[in-house]
Amino acid sequence: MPLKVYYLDDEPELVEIFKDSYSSKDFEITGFTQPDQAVKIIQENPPDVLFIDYRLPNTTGDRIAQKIDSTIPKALITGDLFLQPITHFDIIFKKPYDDDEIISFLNKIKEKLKI
Amino acid sequence: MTVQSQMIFDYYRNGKLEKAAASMAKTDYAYGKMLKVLEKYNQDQIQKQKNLALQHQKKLNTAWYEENLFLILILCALLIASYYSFQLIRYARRSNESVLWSLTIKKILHDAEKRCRDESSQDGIISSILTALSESEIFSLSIYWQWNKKKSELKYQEGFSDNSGEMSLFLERSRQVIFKAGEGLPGRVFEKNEVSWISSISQDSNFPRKSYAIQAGLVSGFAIPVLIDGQVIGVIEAFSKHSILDAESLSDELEVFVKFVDSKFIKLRLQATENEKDQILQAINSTAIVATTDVKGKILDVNDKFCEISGYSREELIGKTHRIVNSGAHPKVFFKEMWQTLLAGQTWTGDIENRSKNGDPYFVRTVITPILNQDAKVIKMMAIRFDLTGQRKIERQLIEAQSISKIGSWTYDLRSSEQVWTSENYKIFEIEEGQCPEVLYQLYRERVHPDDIERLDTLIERAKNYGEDFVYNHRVVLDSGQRIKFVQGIGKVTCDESGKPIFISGTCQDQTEMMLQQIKQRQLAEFNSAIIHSAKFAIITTDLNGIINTFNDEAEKILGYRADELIGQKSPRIFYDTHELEEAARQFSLVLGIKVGVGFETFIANAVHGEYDERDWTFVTKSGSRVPVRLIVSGLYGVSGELEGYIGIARDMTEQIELQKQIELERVKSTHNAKLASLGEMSAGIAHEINNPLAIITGNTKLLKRMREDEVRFESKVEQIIKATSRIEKIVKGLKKFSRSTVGTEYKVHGLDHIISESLIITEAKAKRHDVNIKLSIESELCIYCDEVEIEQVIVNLINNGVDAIKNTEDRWLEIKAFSTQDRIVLQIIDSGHGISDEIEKKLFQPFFTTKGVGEGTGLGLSITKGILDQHEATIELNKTLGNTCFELKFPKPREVQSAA
Repeated sequence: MPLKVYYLDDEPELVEIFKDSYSSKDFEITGFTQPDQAVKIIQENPPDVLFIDYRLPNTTGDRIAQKIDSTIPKALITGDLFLQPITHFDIIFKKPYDDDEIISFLNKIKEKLKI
Repeated sequence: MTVQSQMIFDYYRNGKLEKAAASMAKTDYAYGKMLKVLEKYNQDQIQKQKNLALQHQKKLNTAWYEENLFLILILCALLIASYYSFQLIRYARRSNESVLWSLTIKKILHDAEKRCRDESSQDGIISSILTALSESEIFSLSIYWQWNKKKSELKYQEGFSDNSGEMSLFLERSRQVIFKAGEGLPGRVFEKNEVSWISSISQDSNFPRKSYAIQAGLVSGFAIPVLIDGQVIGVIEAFSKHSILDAESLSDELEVFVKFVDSKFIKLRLQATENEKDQILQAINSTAIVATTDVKGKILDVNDKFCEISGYSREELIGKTHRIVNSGAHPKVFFKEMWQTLLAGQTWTGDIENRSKNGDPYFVRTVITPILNQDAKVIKMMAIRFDLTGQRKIERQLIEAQSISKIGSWTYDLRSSEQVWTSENYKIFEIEEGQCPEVLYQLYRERVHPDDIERLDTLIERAKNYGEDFVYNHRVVLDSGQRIKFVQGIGKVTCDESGKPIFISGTCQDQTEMMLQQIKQRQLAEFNSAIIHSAKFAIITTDLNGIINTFNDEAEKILGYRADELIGQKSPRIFYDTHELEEAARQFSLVLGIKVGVGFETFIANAVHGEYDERDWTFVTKSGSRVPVRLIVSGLYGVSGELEGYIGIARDMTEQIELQKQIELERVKSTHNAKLASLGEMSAGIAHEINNPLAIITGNTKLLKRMREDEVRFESKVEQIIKATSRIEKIVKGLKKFSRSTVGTEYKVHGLDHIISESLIITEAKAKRHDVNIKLSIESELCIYCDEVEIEQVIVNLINNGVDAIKNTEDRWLEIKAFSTQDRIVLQIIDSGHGISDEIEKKLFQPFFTTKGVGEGTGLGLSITKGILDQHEATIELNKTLGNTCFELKFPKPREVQSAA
């Protein structure tokens, strides 16, 4: 079973790149550009891991994460230099992010879940 | 009694009150002591008065007898007459001649009585009697012999005769003769103190003037003693040309004669005493305040003096008690004791403070004597008072004067070791009054500073032994060393006739305040001098003619002259540049409307009118170099407010001007720094904007390799990369302006919409992050003449401030409006906040003022904004007409020429 990965970013290009870069037999990536839509789907069909952009239209990644089941591992992806202390995320990736780091994080989750 | 007190007392007794007071003041003799002396004197006087009164009583009894004497005499005469007529019948042998003699003597007495009536001296009475005798029918000659006590002899005093030659010879002889006691007729009468008849002069064995008497035809005579208080003071003789047969029978008549003379003398002396008493009473009445009261104190009578001093009329006083003049100054017990004394029949003496009708106090030395009746019962009181008000006034003035001048005085009687101090003296040394002499000096000595004791003792010893006067300044230690007084003592020694010191008197003055004052004044003078000399201003004062009086250290430093080569010699004119002075004179003349000459009068042109003048000048130093100064010139006024000269305070502006230049440089620099600061802030905001496209570029670039075969997707990725790259390019372009390194400005006409959109590139990110929506409402084609970067910075600043102000509020929005008015281009930056308090508004444009938290703002923003706008001749203010916070910027419209260029 591939790992169910959700990615939320208001920039469609970045969603596309994320999907293009990491989709494989191990990782099944679903992208969202609308926060409301994403939250709804997440609650109906929770992912194994969730990636969220910080700066979103009319909200922030932090606020979204707050609404999601805390047991779901979450990663924050942001282009900001300075961030307020963030509590709802397991890891933070800074744009432009490094592919190996993302893959290594995904593998770790996958292993954890399988064990 | 001491020498001083004796002297003062003598003055007092002789009525020289002023001299006595002066003497008292001079010797500082304690007043209390004087009072004692005066009391004693008063008591003596009272005793004397008493004695006199007793004598009077005696004399009065005698006088009564005397006054009725004539009546008695007549009665006697009648008795005698009846007796004689009886005798004539019974003893027929008594001769007619004897009766005649007897009657004649009585007639003589009657005559003498008449003659004596108006006589007021002993001599007059004697003369009257002698005349009565010599002019009588029987006697032809009379002589009075006066007893001279010293020589123990009787001497002819006066004689009368019928003026015949023989009589004159006899009188002449008598005048030459002197009789001792027992010699001749007068001597015999004197010795035996009894009347004596000579029936026949020719047969008398003890009559030395016999031949002269016979020659004058004198046959018989008699002599009687003249007495005063039973003592014989002389002898009266009378001689007759007629013979007397029965002399012995006429002895009684002569005795009456003796009594007659005695009574006349007593009456005379009584008269004299009466007169003296009157005089005394009159004297008392005119000087003393006299009142009599009954035993209950009710006033029976008062004299004029009493009315005068109390202000009450006699009618108002009589029947009242002395309570009417009670001042309330004395306790009840004072009067109680007085009454106890009086009712015991004793005289009371004391000083009383009374109050007159108009409320003024007056002081009286009072002597009240109870008047007793024959049963020694007090029947009334007589109060004699002397006005002491003047004396009290002097005394009080003395005390006051001593208190004010802090001068106490003291006396030290070397013979009795008695010391008397005035109250002020006690006060100075803080010793309780009324110490006994040994303790007093000990207490005083204990208070003297240990270092001053030795000198004090030496001076006192020298004064005691050699009569040396002294002046010594000594410290007095009080409160066990907590307090020190500086006291100057002056001692003056009085010596007796042999030159031996007997008395020291002196003064002590508390000079502490004076000393402190002096110290303060000295400090103040030093302080003033220090101010003048250490001031970092050139201080130059001149007299009215412009001659320098003061030239301080800083003036020396600035001008290169030494004070001593200018003071009293030169005018400040020498420091001035002539051209500058001419220009200033011209300006003053224009402004003041009067001709102001070139010279000293130029720079005092304002000061002379009581104004002060502040302006920049160039001073020419001694070496000829030029120093820019800011000079304030004003008048120098004396204590009385009169213009005495001028004062100039000059500040060397060289550094100031240099500093001004530096400040200007700093300002430009800080503007640039602020730009950098806002760039830093910006970069944080825009990082996100750059990192997103960057992520797109890097992500896609990596994917490109994989998509070489899929042409469509490849093309799409490349397109995304180009788009992202241009996004970054746009942002960097905006930043470029801020990185401009050149200091200075570039003024051009710019479209305001363009500047606003450039500002938004930098600020949008921040606004977005804080979820602040920015609305724009900008008229098209608005242009301003400006430095684009600076105005962009201003707008960025205001937007950032707005965002910061509202980021934590519910409703967050920001609006930028730009429009044109008739002569202005208006730019409004409005945020959803609700204005700014007046308190903060005042400080808004001050550097470093910030409402932001630590680390959030530098506080430079608005002050820089203001500085930039000032340079653009633009204004910034809070528009309070809108409900929200609105910064309103107004730019001048660019001129055609500028826009064309």
